[in-house]
Amino acid sequence: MEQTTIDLTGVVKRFGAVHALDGVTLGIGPGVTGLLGPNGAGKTTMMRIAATVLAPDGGTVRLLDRDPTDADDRVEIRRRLGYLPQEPGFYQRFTAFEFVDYVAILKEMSDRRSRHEEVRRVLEIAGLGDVANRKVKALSGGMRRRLAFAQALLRDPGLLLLDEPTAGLDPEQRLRFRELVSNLPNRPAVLLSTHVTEDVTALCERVIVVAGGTVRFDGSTDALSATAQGRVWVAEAADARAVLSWRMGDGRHRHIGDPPAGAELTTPTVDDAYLLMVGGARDGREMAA
Amino acid sequence: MSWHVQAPTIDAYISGRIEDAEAFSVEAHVLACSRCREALSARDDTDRHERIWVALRDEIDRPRIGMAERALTAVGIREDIARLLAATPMLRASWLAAVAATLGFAVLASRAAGHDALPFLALAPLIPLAGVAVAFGKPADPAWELGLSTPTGGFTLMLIRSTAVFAVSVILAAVAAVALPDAGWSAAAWLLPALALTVLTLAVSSTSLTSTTAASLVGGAWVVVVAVADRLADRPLTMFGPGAQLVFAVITAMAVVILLARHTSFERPTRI
Repeated sequence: MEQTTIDLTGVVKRFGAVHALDGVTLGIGPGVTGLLGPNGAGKTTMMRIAATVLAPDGGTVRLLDRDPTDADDRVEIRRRLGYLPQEPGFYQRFTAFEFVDYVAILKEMSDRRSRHEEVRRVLEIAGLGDVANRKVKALSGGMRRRLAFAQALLRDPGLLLLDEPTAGLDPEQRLRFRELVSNLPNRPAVLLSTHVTEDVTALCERVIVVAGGTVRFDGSTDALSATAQGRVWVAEAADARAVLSWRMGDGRHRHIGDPPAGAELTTPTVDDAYLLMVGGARDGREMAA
Repeated sequence: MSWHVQAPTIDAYISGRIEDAEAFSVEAHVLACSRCREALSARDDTDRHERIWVALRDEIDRPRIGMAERALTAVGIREDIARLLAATPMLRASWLAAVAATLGFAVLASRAAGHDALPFLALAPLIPLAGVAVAFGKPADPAWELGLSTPTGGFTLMLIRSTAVFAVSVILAAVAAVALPDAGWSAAAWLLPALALTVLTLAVSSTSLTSTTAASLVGGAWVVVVAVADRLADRPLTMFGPGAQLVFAVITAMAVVILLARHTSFERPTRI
């Protein structure tokens, strides 16, 4: 396996005046990497560039040690890629089986028997074996999400890109999804974008925080929590000096920001660190993106 | 147990070249004799079993196939290609019915217009245009982005679907043309314009315009040009005469060149 599966160097992408990505440089290797950021931070743009479906305006991209601008290399990359788009569209008239079969055909599986075996395999993994012959329009939202996930597993990809895979899932489905990702056969490199911090703490060996089209943090989840060390405190009342504060279940208030002297400091979580990191970054440009 | 399956018999059994009676006695024996069971399984071809099992399972568990796909495979199209085409709106029964009705009206209009084929000739080239407009790309194809991330979901899929849409349009229009009042050369004069407009639409959609916008622009321009030509020309159907056909051939060729030169924009667009 390659040492890095996604290599971005100074990647820039603009949509009109908006800089969706503003010079992103990073290398992503094996294991599960989380891409965390607020809506409009550039996560989806990054995922699309990594999925070869969008060309950047500047910078260089290497995927699975190949060059996506080269036609032959691009085909090789796509052969080893599994992609769950943020808004996967379906052909509503197809059954679940037909839809995955359709993607399998696009993934060059022309032999019907082995293709059908593979379609059944991924439907089983996603827990959809029983509804394989049900029309997509008759599936629940959670089932559709799993259907989109199932197709990404076709042909055991070396790189699995999941854009907001847990959006719209209920807590139980979310746990099931975590189980699926941690038990994937052949352990592909996974890049998972989300704005849910629990997904990241539960699944990811490494987390990248993006906001405003730039990388704000890159490291382990523990290291992310540690960035808020000494900046989270608990008090009886609300405090206007905090960047953010909220009333907890026990009636006390949790604050993040620069604590006043003598404040009762507490152990920061990934949530605290994330909020602190992107809380100050919410300028107009980012909201527009 | 005194009797055991002999090596030549095992060979015959494994290869399947064995009399039924002998095969039954081998099977009855190995149920009771672990030594022969092991001898047999050591020689067995598990790949072959796997293949048989997969084939069997596929026959039993074969999913029902939709009507469009059955029709496509019935006319000799490969089942995997048929699946790719089944997601094309134009190949649905409702579309085909709408197209047939439109062509029918165009034929009636041509008859009503005093044996003038112009209404039909002007309309027929727009049929594949409408089909191609929704055959690929955003926003027409809901799974387009997903397809782009696969080896064949970009340019190849676009070509497969567009070709199918064009072929079906040509067949329907050709059937309708038979009913034209004056079925001379003009009954086929729509064919080259149809090809030119279709390829031109594909070429235009290689820009940042969507396929639907591209088709609207090309179709709109076509209607204007036909109407203006009909007013200005002194002879009827100048737009479809030999000189014009040459122009359509040139447009087609140029559009093909543009399409091939810009095929990357169907593979890895700068906007999605």
